[in-house]
Amino acid sequence: MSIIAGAARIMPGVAETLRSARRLEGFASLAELRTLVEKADWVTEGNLEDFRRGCDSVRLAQLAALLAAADAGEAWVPDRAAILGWNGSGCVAENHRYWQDFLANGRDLGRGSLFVATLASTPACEAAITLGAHGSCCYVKGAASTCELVKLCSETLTMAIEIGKARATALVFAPGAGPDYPECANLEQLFGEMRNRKWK
Amino acid sequence: MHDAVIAAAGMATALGDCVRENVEALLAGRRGFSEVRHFDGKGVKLGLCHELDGGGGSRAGRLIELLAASFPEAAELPQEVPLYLATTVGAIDLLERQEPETEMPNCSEILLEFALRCFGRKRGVLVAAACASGQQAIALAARAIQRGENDCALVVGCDMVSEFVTSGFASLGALSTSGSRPYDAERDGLTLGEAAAALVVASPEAAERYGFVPLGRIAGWGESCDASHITAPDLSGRQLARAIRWAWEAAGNPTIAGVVGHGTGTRYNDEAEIRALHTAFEEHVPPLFSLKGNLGHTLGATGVIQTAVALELLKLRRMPPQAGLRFPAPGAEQMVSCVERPLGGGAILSLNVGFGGLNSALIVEELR
Repeated sequence: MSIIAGAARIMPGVAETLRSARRLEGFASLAELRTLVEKADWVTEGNLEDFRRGCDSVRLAQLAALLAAADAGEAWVPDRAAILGWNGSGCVAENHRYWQDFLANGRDLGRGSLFVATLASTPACEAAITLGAHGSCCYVKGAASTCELVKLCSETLTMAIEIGKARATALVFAPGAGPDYPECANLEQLFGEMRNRKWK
Repeated sequence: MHDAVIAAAGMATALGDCVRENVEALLAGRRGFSEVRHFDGKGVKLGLCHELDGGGGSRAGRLIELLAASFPEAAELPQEVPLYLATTVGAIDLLERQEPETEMPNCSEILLEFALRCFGRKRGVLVAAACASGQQAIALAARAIQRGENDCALVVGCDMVSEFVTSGFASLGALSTSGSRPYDAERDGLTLGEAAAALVVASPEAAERYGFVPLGRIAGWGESCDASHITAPDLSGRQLARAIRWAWEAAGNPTIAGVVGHGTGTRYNDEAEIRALHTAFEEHVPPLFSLKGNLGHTLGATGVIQTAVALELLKLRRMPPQAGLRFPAPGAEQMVSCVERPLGGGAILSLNVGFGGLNSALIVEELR
């Protein structure tokens, strides 16, 4: 059974890690949070080349993944790390944006950069690129709890990312790296439960 | 660890409404491409199910209904058997027809809800891994059976041809002007298709209990991510080769009689795939075939279709001709053929590759 090796969440104006209890505060946009992340010497180095052209769900996934990987410390091994996007809001807004842009351009040719974002798996894949994670990668919706989510995960080191409205939570599950966890309806709730256990 | 078998399979594609009809068409080298009637396709030919033209609701929903009608065994399973739905964009035509100022539809969730009702399932999981969704859904279902968490699952792959997706692939310059020619030296892109396909994945005991004679066994799978570019594959094929090796090791190193490749007909995809197969098999590369020269690229459905077709080909011991092939691409000369070939027994490797650098290798084999 996998357990939590590291976790991070991003909320409006605050990003925090669970195990190492680090906080980045005072950002008004995800671009500003990126600057804070890149300046923080404790954050895992990552490839953020796609950040500027990514939609918000991609940016949230990239930054939350970087922070969760940093929180996992030595337990984070990207070579066979799998990444799962889980529940959250999918790509509804990105679908709408692509289609409206296509209509506005006379229904002739779509814009490729907007089209790529219409796949629900894109944020998880962008997070994989950021971290150089070479394991499995996909988006799932319908698993009822975090325990069901873990059952969907592969045997290898796995990161799960949940993206809701203006927030993201990422957890690194790893074998033998920390305490077991309670069953929760979402990663946000699980993050809170784990913090209440005074995990540090 | 329990075994996971394919207990039954069904499909609805541009070439027919059951597995046998589709495989006969593949063996005959037929191509199911025709002009779009349900939107302005600008004359392009795609793999279309024209019986869906003109109906109400979502075309993807009608595709699911077509599948359910041709595969009644799926709805006869107990309601508790979960559904795994593989789709890239779901009922995306609902977005195309959306009135201004109305709430944005979640098209994939809508299709999941529709499929749950149509197949009489109580619960389901949406699996989205771009064009690798189908095989990833099969792997998730099989893993749950191997661990004893479920003893049976219904895996459905479904994607329709829409103006939304067609314009998107056109914007990336990925569409063929003449019809997809997988593994051909002069290939010029992919041809989109639409389909729905389903597999009943079960433990051998559950398959027997529900009255199925298993078609074959899911022997192993491997998944990887290039993690290099969001649309283009890693042309070295290195990570795809790793997925193939993991699948092969998980399957117990069986003899691979043939490969049902992803083979979209784009320059990058096919080149990466050919390199990956050479890396994984060295000088012993098995015969290769892609059904996208016949059906088009059916996105989330393709992995489910490929798996069902692979088992039927193993049974028949026949490898179809590569539709659209004229001059094999460099490196593929010994792998592909424009004529039908005999197929050895044992196992077949099926490959899926998707945007985001997603790679999936799945091995199915005959029951011993």
